[in-house]
Formats: sequence, structure tokens, C-alpha cells
Amino acid sequence: VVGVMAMFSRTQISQITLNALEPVATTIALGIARRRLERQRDEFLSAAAHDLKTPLTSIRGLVQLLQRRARPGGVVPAEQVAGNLEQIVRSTGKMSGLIDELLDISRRDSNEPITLHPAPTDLVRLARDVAADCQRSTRQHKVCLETAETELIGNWDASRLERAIGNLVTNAIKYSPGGGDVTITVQREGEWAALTVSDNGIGIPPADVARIFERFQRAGNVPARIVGTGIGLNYVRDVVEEHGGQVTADSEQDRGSTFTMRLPLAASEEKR
Amino acid sequence: MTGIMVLESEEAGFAFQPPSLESSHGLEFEDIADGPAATLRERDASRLPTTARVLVVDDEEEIRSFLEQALQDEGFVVDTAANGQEALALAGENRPGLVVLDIMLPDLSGGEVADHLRAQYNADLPILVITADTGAEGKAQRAGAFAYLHKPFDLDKLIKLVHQGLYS
Repeated sequence: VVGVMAMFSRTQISQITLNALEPVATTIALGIARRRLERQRDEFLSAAAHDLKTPLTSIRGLVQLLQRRARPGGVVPAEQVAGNLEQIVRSTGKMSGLIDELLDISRRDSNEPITLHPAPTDLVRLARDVAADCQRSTRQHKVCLETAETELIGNWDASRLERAIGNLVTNAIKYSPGGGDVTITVQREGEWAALTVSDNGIGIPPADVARIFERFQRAGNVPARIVGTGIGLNYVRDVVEEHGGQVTADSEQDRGSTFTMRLPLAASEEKR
Repeated sequence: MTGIMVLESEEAGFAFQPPSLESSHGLEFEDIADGPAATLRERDASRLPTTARVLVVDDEEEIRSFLEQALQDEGFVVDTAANGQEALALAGENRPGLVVLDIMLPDLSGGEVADHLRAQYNADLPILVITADTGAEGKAQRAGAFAYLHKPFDLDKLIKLVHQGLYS
């Protein structure tokens, strides 16, 4: 149901009239649904453009900064130059990660499965890398990893999993605009590896939790100025399910959210 | 109309020239904008305070970081803020000579930050807006910016505009 068409008449409306009106209602409904899709697509494109522009801005800015520093008489502290170059590499990595994610999503649209490249992967190490990388992007948040495991190895697609965990952590940061703790935990639960990401941000209204992993669905309490594509969590679910795992959301509005992904420790071999 | 558009180029971005600026200083905005940054620096060096303070407000660390370095290379004292609240707190401690402001912040809108800053100090605090939003001209004008640049912007141009905003 996309809407209700109302008709008012002084006399009783005959069944014939109602039957005749049905195609009209259907046409209107299709129109509304199409308009809604178009709006979602527009919002998605503008958010994706926004997300790509950030690393692009920093790459351009850093290259120009280095050009200025390389001018005759320019200031060139060697360790700063090394830091600038490192950041350029990180920003290009961020951009290509985002592009890969978009390609995976579009592959999913044409009903092609994501082709995983599983290899022995340490979840603790992935989580630690993501935590360090995300911590670099904020100083109002404290991103920390809590785990009793020194390593937790499964047969997983490392780069996709890293992006999925990255999406959870960047969401935790993004949706706690007042700052605060972002905690990642990793633990073994029998034959499963469980990773959680918790924040004390704006949370998700109860009615929206169930559909939060759907494409283009964003929680109703997100302020307009927090830009998002609405594909991040959808990508997390795709990647985790493709690995034979599950992802769940647990949230309380204004208190924060906890996302949990469970990955089979040995299933990849069993699947073969 | 709140200002006169005086700078337009192949880059996305414009400069507004508030009429008051034009009458009180009689500046040659276009000349400055088109001249090389080095000339501008030399020309202004003698009559300028050496430690002009620039406040950079952007929620992305990677952008704050290179802007901070580039502006420090120019000899400015640079404060950086990741959101509107932080910007207002920093501006409260030390009055900035100019603010480079991303108008899409996670807590306050750029317009709100600009209004607060002006209330705190006065109307002639120059604000240079940077934005990833291609339709942001109106927002930049409403924030009272003297110029705005679209991301990914030209760093040389940003630095020229900072000099203009501070010293013209």
C-alpha cells in the first residue's frame, strides 16, 4: 500500500464505478512508487558524491600542498611530506573502497552474488586496523577494541569484511555527533566469531530497527545535515550473509546502538 | 542582492563582494584574485599583523589536517574545529581573523555557526565557506560568506581568498 485514494459522493458509488476507478488508483500508485524510487536514487547519488568528494578533496589538497612546499624557497619538513604522502595513499584507499562497495551493490542489483575471495583472515587484526583507521578521523570519539582473543582466524574475504566492519564503525561515529565512546568487541562463541560495534549516539527508533538493513533505509531520527547513502548497512548484511553469517541491530533511541555480526569460523570449508 | 559576484572561474566557486567592503576599502578584488599568491604575500607582508588567526571548521579530519598545514605554511596561527560547538568554543577563547567554514556540520548548520560568531564578535568577521554541496550558493550567501568554494577546491585559490578576506 503506497497511499489511499478517497472519493466523495452524495449518492452511493456503484460497483461499476469502483471497478472503473481501480486502474486509475493503480496508475497513481505506480506513479507514487516511481517518484519515491527516483527520490531515493537522487538522495543516494548525492550522498555517494558527497562521500567520494571528501577523500578527493584531501588528495587534491595534499598534492597542492606538496606542490607549494616544493616551490623554490618553500618549506619542506621531510617528516611532514612523508605524512602527507601517507595520507594521500589512505585517501585513495578510502575512495577505491567506496567504489568497490558501489560496484558490489550494483552487482547485487542485477542479482549477481558477490564473489568472495576467502582466505585465512584474523578478525582481531581486522578490527584493530579498522579501529585505528577510524580513530584517525575523529578526536571527539574514543574508538577502542575490547577482546580477550589474541587472534580469531576464519576463512573470510578480508577486504570486504574490513569494509563491512568499517561501515559499522564509521556509522557509530557519524551517528554520535556529540562524541563519545565507540567500542568494538571480538569474541569466540563456539563455532562462531562475534564482533560487536557499540556507540552511545542518537540510536534508532524502534519502528525503524527492523528495516535498517534494507537498501536506502535510514532511521527517521537522523537529522538532515548528516548525509548518508542508505547502503552502508545493506552492504554489511550482504557481505556477512554471503559468508554464511548474520548481522543484527539492537538500539535504543537517544541512547545508542549495538550492531553484532556473527561469522562462521569453519563454514567456508563446509560449504565447498 | 546581498553582494556582487566578482570572481568566477573554471573552478566551481565564487566570491561575493559585500557593498560595504567595496565602499570602505575600494579594493581591487579581481586584481587580487587573479594575481599570484606570492605577489599578494609580498605586497601585504609589510602592513599585516604576522600572526593572523584562522579558524578551520570541517567535520572531516583529513580536510582539516591539510588546511591546517597549508595555512601554517603561510604563517597563520590555525585553530581547527570538527563541529559547530567546538568552533564556537575555540572562537570564544581566541578571536579568529577569518573562518574557513564547511557548511555541512554534524551538529549545527553553517548558518547557525556564522550567526553565533557574528553575535560573539561583529559583522565583519570574514567567513569563507567550503562545501561539497553543488547547490550551496544560497546557503553560503545566507551565512554571510564573502566567498565560497566547492570541494574538491583549488588550494591556491583558497589561500588567495584567505589573504583577501583578512587583508583587504
